[in-house]
Order: sequence, then C-alpha cells, then structure tokens
Amino acid sequence: MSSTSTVPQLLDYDSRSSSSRFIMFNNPIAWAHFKVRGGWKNHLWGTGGYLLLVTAVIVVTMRLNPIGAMLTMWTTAMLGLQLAVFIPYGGTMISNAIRRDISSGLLESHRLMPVSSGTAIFGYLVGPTFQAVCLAAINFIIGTTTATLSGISIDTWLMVNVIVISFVAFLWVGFVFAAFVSKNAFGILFGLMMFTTIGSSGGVMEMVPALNVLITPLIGNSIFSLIQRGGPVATISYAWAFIAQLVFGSIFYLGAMRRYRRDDVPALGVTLGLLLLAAWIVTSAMGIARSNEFIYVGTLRRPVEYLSRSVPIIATLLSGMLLGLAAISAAARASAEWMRTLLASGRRPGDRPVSPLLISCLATLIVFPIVLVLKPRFNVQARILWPAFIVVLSFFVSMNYLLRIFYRAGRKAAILLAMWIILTWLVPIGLDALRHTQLSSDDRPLFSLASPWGELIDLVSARPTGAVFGLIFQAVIAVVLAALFHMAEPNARVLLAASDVK
Amino acid sequence: MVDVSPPLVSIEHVHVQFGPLMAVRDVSFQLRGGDLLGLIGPNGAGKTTLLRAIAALQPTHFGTIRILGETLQPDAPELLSHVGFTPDTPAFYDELTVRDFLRFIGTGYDLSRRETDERIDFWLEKVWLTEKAETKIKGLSRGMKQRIGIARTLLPNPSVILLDEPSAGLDPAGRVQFRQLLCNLRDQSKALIVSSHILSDMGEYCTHAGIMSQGRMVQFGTVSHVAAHGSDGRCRYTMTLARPVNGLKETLADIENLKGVNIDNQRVIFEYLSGADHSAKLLAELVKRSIPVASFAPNTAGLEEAYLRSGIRQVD
Repeated sequence: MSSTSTVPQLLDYDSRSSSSRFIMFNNPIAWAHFKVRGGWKNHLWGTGGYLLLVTAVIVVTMRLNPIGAMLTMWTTAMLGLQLAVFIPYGGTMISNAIRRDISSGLLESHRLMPVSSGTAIFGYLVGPTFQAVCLAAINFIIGTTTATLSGISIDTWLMVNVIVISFVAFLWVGFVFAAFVSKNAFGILFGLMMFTTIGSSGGVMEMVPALNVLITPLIGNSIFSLIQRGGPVATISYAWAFIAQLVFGSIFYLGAMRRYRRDDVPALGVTLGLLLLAAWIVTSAMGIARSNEFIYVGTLRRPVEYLSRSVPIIATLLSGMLLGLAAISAAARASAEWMRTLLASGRRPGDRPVSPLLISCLATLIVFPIVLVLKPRFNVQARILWPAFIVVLSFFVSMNYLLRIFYRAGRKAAILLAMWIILTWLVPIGLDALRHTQLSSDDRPLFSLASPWGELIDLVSARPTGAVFGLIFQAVIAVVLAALFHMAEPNARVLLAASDVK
Repeated sequence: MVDVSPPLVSIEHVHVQFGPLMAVRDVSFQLRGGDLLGLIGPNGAGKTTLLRAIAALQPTHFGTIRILGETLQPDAPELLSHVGFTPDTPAFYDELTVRDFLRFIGTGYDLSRRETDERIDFWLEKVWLTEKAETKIKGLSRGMKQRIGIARTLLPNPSVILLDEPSAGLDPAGRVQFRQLLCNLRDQSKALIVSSHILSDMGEYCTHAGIMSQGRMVQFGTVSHVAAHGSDGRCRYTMTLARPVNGLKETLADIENLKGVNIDNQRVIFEYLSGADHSAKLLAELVKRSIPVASFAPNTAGLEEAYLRSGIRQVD
C-alpha cells in the first residue's frame, strides 16, 4: 500500500528540476504525443521509408539526366522539401494535437498536472513534430551530400539550414498560439501566408513591411537565392529578421502559455497586447527604413516596383489600429467583468483593472509615431502628424467604449466589433466610390473622410482636401460613445464604498 | 470531541460567474482529512462548476479556495498536484494502452518510472482492470473508461479528491466496489467531494452532505444533520395498494396530520408523523377505512428525504 500514503507524506512531494522537462522524453505532453503517433516504431518506419523514397528518386533522375546541374537542383529541392516538411506538415501536426486536446477535454487533464505552462507549450512544439524533425534530418543529410557533390559551399548550406530552423521555430510558436486561439487557426494562418506571398503576388507584402521582415527567409534575398548565387550571406538582413522573429515568437509563446492555463482569458491580455503592437510598429519602421534589404521580389523572382512610401505608412497605421484592439479589448473585458462581479456579489472583487481609456492612449502613443519614418524623405510628415494622432486616438477611444458596452451587455464583442469596423471604415469609402461613378472624376472625397482609412489616405494624397470634417466626425463618435457608456455605467466609487461597508 | 486537524479544503465566499449568470454564489465550507462530502442538487445547481473551481479549472470571480492551507491559483502547479479531479466524462488518448496512458500521467506528476509502474499495478487492481493494462483505451467500455479515469485521479495520490458523477457507467457490482474504494480513501484521511444523483449510496459512504440549488449551498453539514434538517418530526410513507380505490385522495385527506398525498396507480406516497407508534396508529386507521394496504413503510430519514423536503424537485 505504498501508493496510498497519508497526507503528511504528500506534503513532502518531491519534484524533479523543471529544466529536465525541456528534454523531450521527460516532457509529459511531448511524450504522450510521440506515443500517440505510434512511438519509435512508427517514427523509424516513416523515416526509413522516406529516406529510401527520396534516395531512389534522386538516383533515378541522376541516371536519366546525368548533368552536374542536377545535383544543384536537388540541393535546392531538398531545401524546398525541408520547408514543406517543417511548415505544412509540422504545422498541421502541432495544430491538430492542440485542437484535439482542447476538444477532447484532455487539456483540462493536463492542467491538473504539476506541469508549468511553459513546459507544456514546449511539449506541444516537440512532441507532435518529432516525425517532421526526423524527416528534416534526412533532408539535411541528403542535402549535405548533394551540396558537397555539386560544389556548393557547405558553410552556405549549413547557414541556410540554421536560418530555416530559426524561421520554423518562430512559425511553429505562431501555430501553437493560433491553435490555442482558434479552431481553424492553422488553415487560416497558412492560407494567409500563402495569400500574402504568392496569392497577391506580393502586393500585401509590399504594403505591410513588418511581414516582409518576418518572412525574410522566404522572400527577397531568400535562402533559395542564397544557395543558387552562393557568395557571402547577407547576415545583417537575417539577423534583423531573426531578432524580429524572436520578439514576436516570445510574445506568441507567452500568449500560448496564458491560453494553456486558462481558456477564459484573452490570449494576449493588456501587457502582451501592447508589446505585440510595439513590436509590430518597430518592425514595420525597420522594414520601411531598410526596404532595399527586405524588398519582396515576387514568386517569379522579378523585382516589383516598390510603392510610394506613404502606402506602407498608411497600411502600418491601419494594421496597428487593428492590432491595438487586442490590448484595448483585454482591458475593456477585465473592466466589464470587474464591474459585473461587483454588482452581482456586492463585494470588492480584488484590485480594479487598469483603465481601458489609459490603454487606448498608450496604444495611440505606440502607433502614430510610425508617421515619423516619413520625415527624411517626404514633406507630408508635418501635415499628417497631428491629424494621424487624432484619427488613431479617436478610433482607440471609440473602440474602448464600444467594447465596454458590448462586454457589459454580455455580447460576443468580436462579431459586433467587426461589423462596426466594416460600417465605419468601408461603408463611407464605398459611398464615395458610388458617388464617383455618378459624378466627375475630379469630385473630392466626402463620405470617405468619415472613415479613418479614407481620412488617412486623403492626408497623404497628392491633393489633400484639407477638410477637417473627417477629424471632427471621428472625434465626435468617440465623445458620443463615451457619453453613452457613462450614462449607463453605475458609479464604481459608490458601489465600492457600499462594498467596504459590507 | 472537536476535530482540530487543519482543513485540507477551505472554501470562503466563492462566486463563479459565466457572463451575467452567477453559477456559484457565496459558497463556503471546510473539509478535513477523513471528510467525504456528497454534493446533491438538480441540473445547473452549480455542483460541477464548484468542483471545477476547487480543481482550479474554473476561475472564481470572488472568494478564496485554500488547499492544505495555501490559496489555490491556476498557475501554481505544485499545489495542484494535491488535488485530483475526475470529470463525469474523463478524457483519454484512446490510441494508448491503459498502462501507457497512466505512465504519461505519472510523468506529468514527476514520478519515477519504477514508482509509476508500481502505482499503476496497484490502482489497476483496485479498479479491477489489471487484465486490461496492455489494452488500448479505445477498445474499452464506458464503465471501464470511467474506472481508468478514477485510477488516473488516484495515481498521484492526491490528498483532495473530487469526483463528478463517478459511478455513472459502472455496473451494480462496480458500484459496490467503488463504494468500498471511497470508504478506504476516506479512512486514509483524504478529503473527498463526490457529486452524484444516487442519494441512497451517498448516505452510506458520505460523512457530510451539501445540497446546492441555483448556485447556493442551501444545506451543508454532516449527513445526519442534513438528513434530519427540516423534518419537524415527520417523514414520508410509501404504501402499495392491493387494488385501485376510488376517492382515495379524499379519504386520506380526512386523516389528521396526513399531508402531501401523491398517487401513482396503486403506489401512494404521503407525509405523516414519524415514529413507530404513529406508524402503527396510521396503519390501523387505514385498515379501519377499508383501504386495501398491500405494503406500508415509513421512509427512514436519509439524504433522499432531506433533498425532497428541501423543495428542490428536479434531480439530475
């Protein structure tokens, strides 16, 4: 009956060092997913079969077409296979493992175990992907052989693989985070990646410079061109990209840890939300400032003419405004829940959460300085600076009150928020587009100035209207929503005073 | 004698909220080693939510939960190792064998391989699944899976054990053995909370009972205390008739102190004064009024009686 020791013995619970949990087979989550996929038997059979198949195909093609360039082609192909094994295959494994644990209820069983959330996330990274890592090892060995035989520098081949691994680590953490947040996360994320790079022929990449930086190993001076052209590695570009990936990866890792522990909290929360926003703006600024290094060259390897620098600025402002909603939404939700608990229980439910209005102001201060990146080359900086500040601040303040109204009513805020953004961003622009079909092409924008998007485009256009109508309209919306919110919000001070008496 | 041992579980003014719905409202109680609390209540009363809150799976909006004197936090995994929770439908990796799944749990609780295997053998024997150790979980019946769920909970030897509908899916023999297992755990000074709708069973093995309704703990105390609560010297009687009787309800209504008549074909349930003398007097009165009594029995004060008296009618 040794296993039924009494309580005092349990208090001396012996725990091994948590660092050992970062060894795959000491990590319970990794071990379970390794076993679920058949353990050593399945993994070794799969890897052996893959080795035989790829080797056979290479030997056959070499016999059919025995030219020296074939080996170079195979080295590049092994790199392609490396990415295929890591990204679609490894990503799918991670996503499926997490979604399965969530939907089956196993995640709750995991949460009961004395396993830190950091360890658990590590387990999801290495357990389900073990087969992908085995296949990648085969790719690496075969690639090293073909590179050696074809005269490609081994240093270059090794460097390329290091770049791939760091990039894949970042992507996998992104997939883990996305899988904890959304059911169809992997599909959405992978689809988005394919659309932004291949689907839009790089159009999206040109407009959103932060993406250019983050996906650098696949675009611009990509790892493929690195192998083909040989020569020195543009280390500095990859180093910047690596730093950006490390920062974003860390934020996603921490976000995944939050969601692993509790699925009722926003994945990012206020602090991580603001950090993500800051990382996005800084990376965007770097992408704009060093656009020659991070330029997208398209799927057909034809350099695409870079757009006017004002376009990435506007796109970064708009994407920053959307990203900023993560922190504001988390603050609004915490605030609404705090008030709801105070009202329902009549007792002070811990410390009051940080003010969503303060977070809105902080988010504005993080986003709008991107305009300063225009300064050295364009004269529009002075013209756009304060109007951009008003547009961003009005938007964030409006959203803060709108979200608090939604959360207070217990509604699904995300859907209502998306509807609001479509209504206020796209509909006014659509109305102007409709006007332009009826009127002359010289007609100045009218309705679109009411949209933050339209207003920003007008500010940086060659012939700005100079109208302040749009700015006033957006500020008024913020004031009206603030008034609506405060009219219905109970006075927290009075409630707290009453709870203190209790 | 007053029990001065420190509480293993201490719940103070716990509130759990789902949006505008307050699922658990101001619940407070303490359990010491050797206490076995039976949670009773209708669907939606908040029993499962309360159990999940104690297991740190459900955040509380207000109040404190202490395990072994320490405040429970979802990000304090070491403290969580002292809490075992079996949900009503435990989850498994179905592709794994029973032993491999429990090894995974052992790894999660930082047990050495040797100790894990010893504990697996011990608990599989206790839940009568030794011969299924190398069988894949997907090939097992619901009742067997329920037993693995219990073994999973007990493997790390927690001092606080929470079981949500644990006997659902168990066959009658399994229920008897399960009752014995609970009694053994109780006698090893563990604190247990069991949510179940088999009230007659709970009366046998629980030391404490709690009746929940609409998120509140409407009654809490020792089983005898809860069973006796609100009885006012009365109890329910169950009578079976030899044949249907016309105007039975009116006839019974004429008898002094007899209330709450419920007629279902030839089975009649009503409330009357408790005690052997009162029972004998009532039986004589029924015979005197020519009611064809085939069987007649007062229901002894138990949890079922207490639950029905509490006015909460829907039992899950």
